Amino acid sequence: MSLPSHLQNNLTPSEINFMAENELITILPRYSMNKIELIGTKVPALRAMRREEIPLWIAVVLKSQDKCSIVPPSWLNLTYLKEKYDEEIRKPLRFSDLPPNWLEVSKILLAKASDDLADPTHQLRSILQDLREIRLVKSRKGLRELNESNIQLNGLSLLEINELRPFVLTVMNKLRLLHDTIAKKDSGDADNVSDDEY
Amino acid sequence: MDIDDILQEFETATSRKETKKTPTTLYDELVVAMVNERMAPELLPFKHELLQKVLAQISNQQQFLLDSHEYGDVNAESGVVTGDFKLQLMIIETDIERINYLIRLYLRTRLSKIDKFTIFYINETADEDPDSKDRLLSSQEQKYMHQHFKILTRLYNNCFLKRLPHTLTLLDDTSGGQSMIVEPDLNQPVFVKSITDKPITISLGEDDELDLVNDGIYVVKYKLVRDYISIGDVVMI
Repeated sequence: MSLPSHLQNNLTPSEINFMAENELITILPRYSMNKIELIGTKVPALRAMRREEIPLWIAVVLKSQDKCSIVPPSWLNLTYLKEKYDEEIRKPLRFSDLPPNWLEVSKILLAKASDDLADPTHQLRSILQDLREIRLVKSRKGLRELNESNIQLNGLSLLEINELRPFVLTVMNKLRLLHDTIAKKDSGDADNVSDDEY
Repeated sequence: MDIDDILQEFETATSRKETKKTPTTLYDELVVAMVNERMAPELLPFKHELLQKVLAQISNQQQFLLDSHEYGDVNAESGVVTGDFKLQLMIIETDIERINYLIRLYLRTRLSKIDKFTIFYINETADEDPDSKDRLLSSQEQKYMHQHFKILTRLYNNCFLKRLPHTLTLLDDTSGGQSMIVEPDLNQPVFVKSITDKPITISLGEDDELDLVNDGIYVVKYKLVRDYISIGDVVMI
């Protein structure tokens, strides 16, 4: 049909990646280039060795042609991520505040611009994986709190939410339906005592 | 680091503060519209203005590309056309494709909902003013919905409905305590994120309340945040 059912009510990881590619990132151009007018954004005139902020996907294009180097975002380094990791361990009931698309951006940068990162990539990869796993464990534990009306999930990134979504929504929907029948029964109980049998 | 760099950083720092207030490039608006549409259980009002703007921009860009290619062909021999120029054209083309993709996702999601709730939306849009600015469906969607429904009913009739007793052939039968019309379930829980500074208080019924604070992520019933989504204080994720 017009939209396959696996796409309904959920996003695919590649769609989330696609959205993250429009995040602005700072680059250090090696050549000059005229400015480009795009539909979504505007690419300013680039001058060699002058920092500019452009969408990530353009940065990756330029990078693949060796026309710029990418300045990694302030959170993508070992010290900062270690700190966040410790924070995750220290506060078992909270998620540390990483940028909402840390997984996607770090993945793209590690794949396309690994030579611009300050720290060795294998160490970065391993700390990112650690962070991801500890957060995954936490969010799984949090599922115990599911109820029929609402929950709060501050600090989770879009990709992590997306993993939880099918489960959380189905469970909450079922709980809601169960809850509704109880509420109906309560009001109908007055003149119908035989409900006790069930 | 030279003085330019420092100035630059100062500039970006201040400009970022400003842009954070109004993060509304066309691209962002499209993404929000697409994700909202994907996550909402019901059909949201069609974004007439946004789509109009974006489509106009796309045809502008395509015209620009055509002109540039012409320019490139004419000047190919003289060596005026550099690799840089081609790279720029490539980026513009990619940008058009990316926007196209988003629009396609948006429209496909809407079509799938129209397919699902056909009768409901035919009834819903029956007494809408066809010229008003805030119609639920675009005119193409409207046309699609009616024609699709016509074909579908004809198929059903030819295949099996004509052999059934007449009382059982109604597709929009609401008698007998069970409505045959598929309606969107507004009580479905959805993931939302608040993006305004002022906290929003929603009531959960039975004197229970929930405050949505800026940047907070919540799962609540769609019905409760519906109004806030339409004014843009809350986005679905």
